[in-house]
Amino acid sequence: MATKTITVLDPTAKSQKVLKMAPRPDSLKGKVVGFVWNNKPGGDILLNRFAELLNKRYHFARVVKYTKPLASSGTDIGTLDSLSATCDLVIIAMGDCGSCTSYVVYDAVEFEKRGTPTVSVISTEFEALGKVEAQALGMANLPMVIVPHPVGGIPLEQVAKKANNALEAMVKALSGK
Amino acid sequence: MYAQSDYDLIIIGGGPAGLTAGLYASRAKLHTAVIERGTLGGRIANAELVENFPGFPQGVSGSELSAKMTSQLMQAGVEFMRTEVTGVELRGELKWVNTAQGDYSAQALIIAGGCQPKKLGIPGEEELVGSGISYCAFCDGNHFAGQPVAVIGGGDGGITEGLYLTRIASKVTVIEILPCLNAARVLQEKARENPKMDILCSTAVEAITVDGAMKSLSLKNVETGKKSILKVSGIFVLIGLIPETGYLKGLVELDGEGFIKVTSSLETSVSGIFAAGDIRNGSSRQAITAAGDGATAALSAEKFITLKQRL
Repeated sequence: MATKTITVLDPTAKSQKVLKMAPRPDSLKGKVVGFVWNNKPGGDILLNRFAELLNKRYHFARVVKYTKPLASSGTDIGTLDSLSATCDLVIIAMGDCGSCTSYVVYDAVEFEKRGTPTVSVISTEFEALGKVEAQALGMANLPMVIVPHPVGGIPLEQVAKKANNALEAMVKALSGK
Repeated sequence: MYAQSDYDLIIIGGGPAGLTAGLYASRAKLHTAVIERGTLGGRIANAELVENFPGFPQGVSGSELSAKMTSQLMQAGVEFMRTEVTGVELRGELKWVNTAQGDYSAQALIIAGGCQPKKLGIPGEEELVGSGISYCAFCDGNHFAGQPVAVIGGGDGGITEGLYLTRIASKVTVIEILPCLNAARVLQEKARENPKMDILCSTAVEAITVDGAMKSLSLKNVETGKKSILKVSGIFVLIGLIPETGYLKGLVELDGEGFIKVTSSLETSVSGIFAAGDIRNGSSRQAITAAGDGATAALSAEKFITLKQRL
C-alpha cells in the first residue's frame, strides 16, 4: 500500500510585528537635534552634557529642548508631531525606573514611526526592561545608550561624567555607524 | 455556534497576572493577544527588589522580573498591543474589546488590568501630583535626595518604599491612620530598626499645603484629637489600590469597591470573561498570587474555548 506524507502546519503565530526604524543620517553635522527630558532627576544634566559635547563636535544647526511634564506618560501626539517635524534626530532621557523606561521607549518608537531617528538613554538597571519593551513594540533594535545606574540622587559632576563616558556610544547610536 | 474571531483569547493587562495567563494560553495553542497601555510587568516593574517571588533567593528587581516574564511570553509567540482599552462589548457569540487602535474580537477574555494607587482625596493633593506628591518611591525618590519625606500608609507598600527612601532622604516619616502598622512582620521589624525612619500611627492627614520649598502636612491624632504640622519636601502616598474597572460597569458584576466578582475558576458574571490578579475581589494583591491567578484564568479560558469549539 502506498504511503502518503501529510505536512501539518502549526497555525499559531510565532513572530511579533516588526516595525521599520527611521533611516540614520549620513552625517551628524549641522543637524537640528531634539533633547527630550522626562523630568527624572539627573536626566537633564546628562542631556545637557550630551548636547554640549555633541554640538562641539558636530556644530548642530540647532538644539531643541523639551521637558515632559510627567515621566510616567507618553508624550502627547501634538508634541511628537511638532518635534518630529522640527528635529532631524531626537535623544530621550531618562529610563531609570520601570514606568519611565517604558515611556522613554514608547516615545522613541513613536518618533521612529514618524521618520525621526532616536536614541533612548536607559540606566543599566533597566536595560533588560527597555529592550523587551522595544521588542514588544516591534523595534527590537531600537538604539539605546546604557549608562550606569543610578543617575538621580548623585552629585551633578558624576552624572556629567556618565555622559562623557557614553559619548562614543551616543555617536554610534545616532549615526548607526 | 463557533464564530470566527480575531483572537481565541484577549488578555487585558500586562502585569504578572496577564503575562502568566498569556504564557499558559500560548502553551494551549490559543491565538492570544495581550493588551497593555503602560509598562509591561505592571506596577511590579517599579519595585526596587522583589523578595517574595519563589526562585530568586537573593530577590530580584521588579524590572528584571518584568523583563524575564515578558521575554518568555514573546518567545512563546503571544502578540502584544500597546494601547488603552476603552470598553468591552458582547456581540453575538464573541467578546469585543474596544481600544484606542480599534476593536478586536475574541472567543474569551481575561481581564487582568490591575489597579491604580488610591489617592488621599484631601485638599492640596491634586495640585501637587508630580511636584511634591508621588505614588512611587523608586520612580521619584531621587527628587528628594538628602531631604525629609513622608510616606502615608503603613502597609507592605508603604514600609517597603519607605525603607527604600531611607537610603535617599534625610528622614522618612511613615504616617498610618490605624493604631499600628499592618505591613508584614519582617517589614515592621526592619522599619523599627531603621534610625532614619519615624512612625506615626493613629494619625490622619487632613490637608497638604505648600510652604516655600516645603510641604506642610496637617496631621490629626485620631485617638486624642491632637493636631500637628509636619514639614517635608516630598510625600509618597501608599494607602492602597483601586481597581481599573470603570469601563466594565454594567457588563460584569463588581463588588462595592469596584473589584470584579469571580467564581473559583475566576469566571466573572459573564460566561467566557475571566478576571485575574489585583483587579478581582478577594485577591491577596501579591505578584505571585497574581501570577497564580493568571494561570488559573488561562486554564479556565482554555476549557471554555474547547467546549465552545465542540458545540
